Amino acid sequence: MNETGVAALKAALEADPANEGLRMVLVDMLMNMALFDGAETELKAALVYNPNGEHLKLKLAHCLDKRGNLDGALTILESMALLGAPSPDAQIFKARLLMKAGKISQAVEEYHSAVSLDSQVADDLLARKLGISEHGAARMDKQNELVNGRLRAAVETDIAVPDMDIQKPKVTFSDVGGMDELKEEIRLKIIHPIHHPEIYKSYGKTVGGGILMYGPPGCGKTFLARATAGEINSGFMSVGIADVLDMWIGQSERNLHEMFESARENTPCVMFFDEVDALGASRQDMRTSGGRHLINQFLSELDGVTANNDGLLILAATNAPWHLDSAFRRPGRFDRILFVPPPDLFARANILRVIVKGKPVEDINYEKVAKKTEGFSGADLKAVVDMAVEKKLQVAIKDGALSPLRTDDLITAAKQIKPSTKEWFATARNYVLYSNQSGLYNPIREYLKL
Amino acid sequence: MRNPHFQRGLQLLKSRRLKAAEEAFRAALLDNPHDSDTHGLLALILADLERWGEATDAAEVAISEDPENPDAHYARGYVMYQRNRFADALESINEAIALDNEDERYFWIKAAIFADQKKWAEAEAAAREGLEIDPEDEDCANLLTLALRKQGQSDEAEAVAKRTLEFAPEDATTHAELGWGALHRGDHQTARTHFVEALRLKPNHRQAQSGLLESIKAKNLFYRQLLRFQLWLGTLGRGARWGIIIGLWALYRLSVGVLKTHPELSGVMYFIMALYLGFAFSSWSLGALLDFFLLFHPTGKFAVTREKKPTAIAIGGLYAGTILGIGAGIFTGIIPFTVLGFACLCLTIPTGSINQCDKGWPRYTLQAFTAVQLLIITGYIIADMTGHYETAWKLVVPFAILTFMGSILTNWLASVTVERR
Repeated sequence: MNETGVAALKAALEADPANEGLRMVLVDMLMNMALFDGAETELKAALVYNPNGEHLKLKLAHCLDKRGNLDGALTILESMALLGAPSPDAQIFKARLLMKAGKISQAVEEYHSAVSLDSQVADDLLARKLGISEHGAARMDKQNELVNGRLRAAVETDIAVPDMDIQKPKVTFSDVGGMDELKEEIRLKIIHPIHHPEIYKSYGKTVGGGILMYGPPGCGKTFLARATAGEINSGFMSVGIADVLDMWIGQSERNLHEMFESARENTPCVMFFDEVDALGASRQDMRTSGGRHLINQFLSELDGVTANNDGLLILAATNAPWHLDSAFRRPGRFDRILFVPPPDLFARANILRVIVKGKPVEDINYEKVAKKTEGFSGADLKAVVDMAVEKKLQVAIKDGALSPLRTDDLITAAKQIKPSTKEWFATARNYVLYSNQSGLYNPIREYLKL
Repeated sequence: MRNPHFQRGLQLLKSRRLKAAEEAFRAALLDNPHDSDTHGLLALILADLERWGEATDAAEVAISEDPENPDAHYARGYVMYQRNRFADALESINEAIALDNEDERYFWIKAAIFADQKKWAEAEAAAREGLEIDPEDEDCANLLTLALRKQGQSDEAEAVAKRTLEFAPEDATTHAELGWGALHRGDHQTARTHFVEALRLKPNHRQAQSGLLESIKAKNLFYRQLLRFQLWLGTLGRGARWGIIIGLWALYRLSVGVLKTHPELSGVMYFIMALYLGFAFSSWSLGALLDFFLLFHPTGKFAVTREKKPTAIAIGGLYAGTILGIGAGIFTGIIPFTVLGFACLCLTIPTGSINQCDKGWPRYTLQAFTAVQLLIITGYIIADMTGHYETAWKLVVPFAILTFMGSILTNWLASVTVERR
């Protein structure tokens, strides 16, 4: 589908080469497909029409960096600085590239400059790597001293430490359509303890703990986690399976510990583990010692055996709760397990509204489309819109005129897409029927009306 | 130390994230394109993803990179086994064993290849060899249990399964094997307990799912005996199975002959004929009919899998058609009603067996065969309603011939295994 989309966009750009919006859609698409060469060509073409477009230059720098052309990326950022004050985002990116190039002092300088302009862009992990304190003050202590222009830690080991960003999400629960019960559970477990710690402490409850969300893929688990962090205005660290497993086997535990430590230093902080089942798959399934060590490390981090987990909020998501080690469900670990179902009618209509934002539309009856997309996940709804847009592009190229998206276009596209949640529920149904002695899957039973 | 992508691929493969594992192994190949093990593991993943052509290519590359690598031959054997190309699979596995005869996985797959071909003695021998290397290999032990049960050695099969549970108490296949053993003995309650346990451990276990369904249906005394008979038939060789079916048919024909020459024995002969016809029809469609009744049971309906549901509904409809047609024929004296009733009964033969055929041409053939029969019956109805009575009657004969041919065809098609391309 992506290839068709790329071809359609390229054809549309031939007809309207100055359309920057369209070209940026193509650039994003190419970058998502890791076709950085093509993305670079498109960005250079866009700069012909808009030579001063800072966002274009920044994107081009990102693109060159992805291609491994560090010098090229830095040259572009330098030229932006010569033309005027670059944005704090561009400066943070430059600091990261300078650190990569081993120019630590310049990177520190760039970081300071960016944070002084806008404190929101502060990147604690980057700061730590640069030996800078939370507020930007240099901390060239013994543990982080420079060795030949590089950080001592970087010289001492060649093993990559995960580059985990701690973000400050701007989305909150008000941006999440539906899911009221889930939001209430999260409020009770995470948000109220933060806002009223004294009440919780008087009952001997600490602030923190974990919530595990499970459900079919693409139904908003990650978004909900991000919104939770936004709701309490805390830091947000998203840890995917690739972040942990990409390391050398035997070093994964150390990396995991580093991530927890980094989050502990930035409390309150929401740590979000996506696809946690792969990290914490049943110890029976993990026959290699490497897998077992990782699980044991994760469990001890959750327990806070060697450190204080107060203010550390842990959210995790999985599509396969049945593969998760039962030790994860003990009190103090993931003691709340929440089912995230596919979006309901109201939520589907809202999701559609968000997805089509910025696209040419005409009198779309979102509720009508939502009714026709029962069981669709957010990702499926995006696929519906993508397909409808592609059809429109084909027509636009043929007829030479742009026509807006209508209700019927979306309904026609919806008929051609099968809900991806179906397969998940086929498996989940078996777990409900045959392996639900603990009642863990009762919410699915209710959802499926079994 | 292996390439990190390779290690990551192994981790992902263990947690059955096949697509992610494929990506990791492909990334590992960028660094080390000539690594035979990586190509071999990629072949296993691609086979599980049912991308047969790519899987075969990857296995061939694994061998060409290192022809002395037994795991590369094992990978090819596994791919060929999954494709139902048993001769090729066996060739590769034998090559792997020639290079390394101390890996129980090679004997496990060898036993599985024989089991899929219903060569139970050979499967037993291969499984025993695997267990000699590792006495606690549950895969080999489960195949040994299956092979013994299929050869009628129920007691030894049960002993092996119980011994397996001592070192692998949470092995779903072992519990399912014990369930099938209990069904063989006609003990449906014990069978059900084992199937429920197997499904608790592994809810997607197909063998346990179908076993649970059979154990629920086996509550019906008649079905229980029929199931025992069918399971017992399964323990005989192919020739013996056909011999018994043909023998029963010969007995039926003999009864018809005796009826003509000795009308005074009509009571006994009619009983034998009814018994044979009842046996014949129930062996083809009683299981699906009971599935149909289970659809109305508050909990039993969940045991009927999505794949079996359409057949169950079709069989239920056809039996309803049989009763209504024959009933209306008797009460009204209108012969076409009776013909339609019998036609419905005849259609239960292929319809009840469609799902027993392997996916691919055997299933399509039976579906096409059933469609032709349906077409003839539709022709009969149209001819009768438009007053072409003679044409209508002419259609009854080919229908009857097709029904007879269909009963043989279904038995044969159900035993065919299709190669996957």
